[in-house]
Amino acid sequence: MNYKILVNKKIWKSWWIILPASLFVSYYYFNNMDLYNGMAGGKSFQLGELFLVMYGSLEPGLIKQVLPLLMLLYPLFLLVYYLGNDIQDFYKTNAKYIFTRTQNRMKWSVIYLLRLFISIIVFYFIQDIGTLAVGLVKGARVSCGDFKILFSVFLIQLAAGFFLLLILNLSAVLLGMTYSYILVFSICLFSFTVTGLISEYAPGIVEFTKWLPTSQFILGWHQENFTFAFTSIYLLVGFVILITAFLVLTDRMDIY
Amino acid sequence: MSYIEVKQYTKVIKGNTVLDHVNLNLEKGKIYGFVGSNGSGKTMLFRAVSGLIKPTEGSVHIDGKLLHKDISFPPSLGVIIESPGFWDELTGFENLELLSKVKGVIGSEEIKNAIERVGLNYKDARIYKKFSVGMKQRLAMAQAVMESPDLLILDEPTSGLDEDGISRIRNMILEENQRGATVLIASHNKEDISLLAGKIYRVADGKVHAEEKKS
Repeated sequence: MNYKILVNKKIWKSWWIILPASLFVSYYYFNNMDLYNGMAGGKSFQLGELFLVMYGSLEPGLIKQVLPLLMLLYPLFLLVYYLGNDIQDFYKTNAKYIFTRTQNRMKWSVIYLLRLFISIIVFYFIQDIGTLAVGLVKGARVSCGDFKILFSVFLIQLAAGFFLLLILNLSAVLLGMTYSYILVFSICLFSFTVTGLISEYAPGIVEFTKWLPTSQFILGWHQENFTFAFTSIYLLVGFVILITAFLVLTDRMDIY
Repeated sequence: MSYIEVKQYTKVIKGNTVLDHVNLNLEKGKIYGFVGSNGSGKTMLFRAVSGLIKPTEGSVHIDGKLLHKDISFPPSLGVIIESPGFWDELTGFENLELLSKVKGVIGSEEIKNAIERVGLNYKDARIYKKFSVGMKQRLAMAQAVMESPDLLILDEPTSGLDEDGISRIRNMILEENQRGATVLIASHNKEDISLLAGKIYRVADGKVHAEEKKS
């Protein structure tokens, strides 16, 4: 038997992702443990304690604190599943029939960006119908102001979804699907983690969090120093950069 | 002047030389066969001549025009390269209709004719996702010939077909050539090459050599 088949090579080749992720998370838990035990810097601890805290313990009471984040992210996970490789699929399959008939790649890239955007609208429309249904069945009061909020939430959902999928589809064309998923997931996780850490341990610089991408998509975080105008400009600049990069890249790349 | 002139064409992808100083001079109106093992560079050569990839070195001229400078791809071209690539949610007819609108040189009649020539039914309401492998390959051939192109580049056109399908495709290739089309065909099926090609090239390790055609 050839023992090479016993280990999936992807695991070895991904050491540069697995190891830094482990370093990051382990360091986070190290700091958490230090504070949890009330130990000041310099006091020693058992290595086993780090491993237990990191891999062998979970406060049941803390689970519910994770749920809000997961609930917020699950629609994005679904969106990524359905649309994450939509544009890459086009360039890998249909593009050879199109670009041996026309040299206007930009037109087709725009068509597929539009397709992406329309698909996101449909997704969130269905998603929000569900939320609307629960609200109405449970007897929520409805006023004109509510529709204004619904519309604002819908716009933010579209912006978040499109932003995320633009990064994913653009990086998929460059890096392939696996690494683009890792990239996007890492951006989200890093962004939320930094926000949480700053809020808890460095509230003096909490204003910095408005520069993180995920902050733009949480309506409730917008306040005096973090306005909708800021988010609008942030996203507009982001969209222009991503869409331009996408159009330039697809215009020049080889079609395989 | 050759119709297709490939000059010192080299393509390097992530350090691998997939096409290595290829030189070809192909005349108009003939059928050329390309043989070689998997990974030899046949498909990459066809991508090069189709204009789908840019060279690391060298050039391709089509009827005197330089690819990626004078033109982006051969102006009148029908291709089958690797597996067919249609839209899953459309029927066979709808797929070809969408493609025909890109250039806008043919109408419904030509599409229906092409579909019937390959042995499919243009009225078939099944979406492409439900097609069998053979049906997909037939549709790919219909797509390649529907606009009566001057140049046909066919990579394994009989792959996945039954006897009737193979026979139809071979006859279509001969008919297209009689119409005046230049045909480049790559096939692992020796009979395809021996029956159709007037001249044969062997592709190995990214290099191309002319081969004697055995009668």
